[in-house]
Amino acid sequence: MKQNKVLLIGWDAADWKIIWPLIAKGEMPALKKLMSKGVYGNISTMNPPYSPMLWSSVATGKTPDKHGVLGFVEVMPQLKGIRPVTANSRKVRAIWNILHYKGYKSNLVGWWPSFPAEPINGVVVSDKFQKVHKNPKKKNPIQKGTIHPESLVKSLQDLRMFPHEVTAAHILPCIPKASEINQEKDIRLQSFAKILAENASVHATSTNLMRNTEWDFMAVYYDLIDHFCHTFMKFHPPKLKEVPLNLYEIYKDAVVSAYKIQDMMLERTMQLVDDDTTIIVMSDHGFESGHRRILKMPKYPAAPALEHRQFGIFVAAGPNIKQNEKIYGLGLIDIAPTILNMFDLPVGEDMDGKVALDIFKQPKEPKYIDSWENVKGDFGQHKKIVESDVLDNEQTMQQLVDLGYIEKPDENLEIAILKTKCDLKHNLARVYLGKKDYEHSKLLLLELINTKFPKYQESDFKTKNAENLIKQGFKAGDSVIDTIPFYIDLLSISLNENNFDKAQLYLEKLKALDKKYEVTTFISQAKILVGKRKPHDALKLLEVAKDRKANAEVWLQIGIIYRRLSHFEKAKEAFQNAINIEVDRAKPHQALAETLIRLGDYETAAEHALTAIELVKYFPEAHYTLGEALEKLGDLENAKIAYDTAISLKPKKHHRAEKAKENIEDKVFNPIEVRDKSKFKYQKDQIVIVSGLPRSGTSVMMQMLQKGGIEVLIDYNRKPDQSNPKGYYEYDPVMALHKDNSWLGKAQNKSLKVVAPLLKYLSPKYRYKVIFMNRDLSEVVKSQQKMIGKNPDVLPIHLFEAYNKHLRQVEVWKNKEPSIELVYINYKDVLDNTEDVVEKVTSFIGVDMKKEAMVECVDKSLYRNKS
Amino acid sequence: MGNKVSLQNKNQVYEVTVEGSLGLLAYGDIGLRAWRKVKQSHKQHNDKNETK
Repeated sequence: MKQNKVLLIGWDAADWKIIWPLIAKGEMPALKKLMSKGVYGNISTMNPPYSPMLWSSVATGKTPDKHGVLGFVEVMPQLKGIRPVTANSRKVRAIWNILHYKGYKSNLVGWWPSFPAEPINGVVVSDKFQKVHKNPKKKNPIQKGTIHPESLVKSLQDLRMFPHEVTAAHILPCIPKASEINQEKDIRLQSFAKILAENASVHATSTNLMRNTEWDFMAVYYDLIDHFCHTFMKFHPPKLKEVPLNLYEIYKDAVVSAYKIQDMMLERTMQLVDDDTTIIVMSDHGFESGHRRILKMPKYPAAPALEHRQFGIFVAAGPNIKQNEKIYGLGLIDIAPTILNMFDLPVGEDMDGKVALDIFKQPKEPKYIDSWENVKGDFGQHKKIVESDVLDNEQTMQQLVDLGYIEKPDENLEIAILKTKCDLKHNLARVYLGKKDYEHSKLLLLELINTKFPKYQESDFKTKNAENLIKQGFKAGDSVIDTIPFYIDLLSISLNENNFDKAQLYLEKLKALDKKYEVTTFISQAKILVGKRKPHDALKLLEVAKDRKANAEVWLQIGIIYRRLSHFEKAKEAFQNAINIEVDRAKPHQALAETLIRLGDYETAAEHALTAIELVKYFPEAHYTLGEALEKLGDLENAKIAYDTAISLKPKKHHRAEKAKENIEDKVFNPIEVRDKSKFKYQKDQIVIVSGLPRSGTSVMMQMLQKGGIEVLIDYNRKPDQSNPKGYYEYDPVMALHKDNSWLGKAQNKSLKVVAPLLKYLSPKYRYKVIFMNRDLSEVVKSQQKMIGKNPDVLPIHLFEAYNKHLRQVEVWKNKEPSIELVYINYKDVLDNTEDVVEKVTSFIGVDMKKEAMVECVDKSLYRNKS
Repeated sequence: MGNKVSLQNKNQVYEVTVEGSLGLLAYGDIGLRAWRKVKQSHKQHNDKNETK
C-alpha cells in the first residue's frame, strides 16, 4: 500500500453554522472524529463565488483570471451552442497534472469541471458520469471522455444510481411527511431524488476506486449539501414568516439530512484509508441559513453573491497534521500549494495561494518554481481539445437553471451565445474587481457598456421563448443584454478609486435604468457624499436606510462616517450594531478595533482585530490595527510581527505598516523619550510640512525653512498682499489633496505648506516632518476676520468651535499615523524666542541648516492682530 | 419483503432490503451493489410467481 497519501474531499457549500449544532448533538460523528484528530477552521471564498470557478482555483492554486474557468457554462467550439462548463475551459495545470508529471497516481471523482477526463496516471471519473436522465425509459450510455481510462467503463458503469431508484426508505429519514406532498404541483421530491442519486453515484465510484486502485492523491467532489441548500434552505428552521407552514413542516429537516448523509459517507471513506493518509474535507463557500436567506432571487445580485456565505469549512487530519487545533485565515487558493508541499514539490510562483504551514506538526520549508506552466513534459493533459460527438447536456443545463445558477438559455442560439460571452466577460471583470485590479476590470466593463447589443422585438414575445423572457423581466425594445450589472460594478470601482464624480454619474445612470435600484443606492450615495466631504448629509441618508431596513453594511458605513468625524463613541456603537447583526464579518471587527484604539481601550481593540484576522487572514488592515493595539499595550515584539504580516500581504503595499514597523525597530534598538512625536533625526526623502490653522504663522515658518536652505515647493500663484507681504508660500495642488495626492513625491526633501484640515489626506507612502504652528485662537480668528474685511473685534463662536475640533483631530491623526512626526511651534515663540525655535526646528528636521539666516528673516513688525 | 441480506462492516450490520436505505448508499459501491442484487432477486422471485 502506498504511503503518505492525500485525500481531498469537497463538500460544496458546507457551512459551520449548520455543522456545529449537529456535532454538539452527536449527529456528525465522522467529521467530529476527523476534527479531533486534526485541524479545523474557516476557509474564505472568492468573488464571484461560483462553484466551478472556485473548485478550479482549489485545484490550481490560481485565481479564475489565470485558470480560465469563469462560470457555469461555456460556449461550444465553432459557436455550436452553449453547454455546462468543461475542463476544456481550464487553461492551466491542476494539481493532478503536476503529480502525473512527477510520477504520482491520482484518482479524481466528480470534480467540477473535469469532463472530458484527462489522461493522467490513475483514474478520472468526470462530472458527467453521475448526470443521468431522470426518465427511466431513456437510455444513459457512458459518453466518450467520461471516464479515464476507458477500460474502466465496464467495471464502473453500474455504480451510477438513477433517480427512479430512490425509495421511501431514502426519502422518509429526510422528509418524514413526504406523503403530504402534492407531486403534481411540487417537483421538489424529484429534485431530491436526482441530487441524492447523483451523489450516491459519486460516492459508490469513489469507494470503489479507493478499494481497488493504488493512488497517491485522490479528490472527490460532492454537491449534495449545496444542491439541497438551494432547494430546501428556505424551509430550514427557524421558519421564515413568508414560508407556508405546511411546506415548512414537510421540508424543514431536509438541509440537515444532507449533512448527516454526507457524514455517513465520510465515515465509510475514513474506513477505507490508513493512518498514513492525510484527509482534507473542505467546502468552497458557506450557505446562508439565518435571517439573510433569500426567498426570491433579486434580479441584480450584489457581491459577494447572495446565498453563498463568505466562509466555507476546512478540516484536515493526517500523520503530519496538528491535532485538535483551530486554524485561521485559509483561502481556497492555498489548497493546491499546500498539497504540493505535502508531496515535497515546489509551488509555482505564479500561484496566488500560499502553503498553509500552520496546519503542520513539522512544516516543510516551501520550495518554489517560477511556473509549472513553463515546464516541458507529460502532464497528463489532453493533446488537443477533446470534443465528444454526442453532447446531451439538456438535463444538466436544466439543473443549473433549476438551482438558480443560470438563467434559462435563450431559444435564439445567437442570442444565447452572446449572453454567455457577456456573462463570462462580466465574471472575469468581477474576478479582477475581487483582486482590486480595477484597471483590467474597468476595461472589460467599459467594453460591455459600450457595445451596441441587439434589442428584443415584439415578434420575440410571440414565440415559445416569450414566457422565459417575461420571467426574466424583458419587454420588447429592451436590449438583449442587461447592462445594469456592469454599471453596478463600475460604480463600485469608482467608489474604490475615490472618483466620486464618476461614481455619481454611474449612480444616476443606474437610477435611470432601473427605478427599483433603491437598496444599494443608499450606501453608494452615502459613500459619494462622504467623498465629496458632505459626511453629515451621508449620515442623514444612512439613518433613513437604517430605519427602513437595518443591516450590517448600513451600520458599518454609519460607523465609518462617525469615526471620520472623530465621534468615536458613536462609531463604536455603530460598529457594534453591525457585529450584532453579522458576527462573522471581518470588516466591522477591524473597524471597531481601530475605533477602540482611539478611545484608549487597547485590549478590546486587540481582541477585535484578532477576530477580524481569524475570519480573514488576508486582511492587511486588520493586522495593522492589531499591531497598533499591541504597540499601545507595550507588546512591541508581537506588534512588529503584526506589522510584518500586514506588509507581507499582497497585493497592495502597506506603507503605514512599513513605517510603524520601522518605528518599533527604532524603539526597540534605540529607546528615546519622544516629545511632540519626533525622533529628531533625518528620515530618508522626508517631506517637511508646515501646517496650522489659516493665519497661524505658517508662511513665516516657510520663509524660515527656505532661508535655512530647505527647498520649498510653491508655485507663486498667490501673490503677496497686505495680509502676507512676504508671500503665501502655497502650492495649488495642495488645495485638492483630498482628491489627488499622487504628486506628493515631488515634495520629497522639500517643504510644503498644508492647512490643518487637509493633513489627513497625506499619503502614508512617505515620511513627513510636520511643523504645526500654534497661535492663540482668538488671534487667529481676529487675523482672519481682518483679512476678509470683517470686523476683527467680532469673533464668531462657531469658528472657535470648528478650529478647536480641527486641533483635536490633528492630535488623534498624529498619534495614529506612523509616517508622521510632528512638533508644535508657538507663533509667539517664533517672534520672541526665535533662536530656540530655530534650534528645535533644525534638530527636528535633522539636516544642517543656515540657522542665522532663519533667525534674521523673522520680521517682528508683521506681528499684528494681538489679542 | 423476502431476500433479506446483511452486510457486516466492523461493528455495524446493514440489513439489505428491497427498499434500500441511506446507510447502504453511504456504504458506497458494496452497499449499492448489494442492494441492487437483492432488488434483482426480489424481481426474479416475483416474476417467477407471476408466471406460475
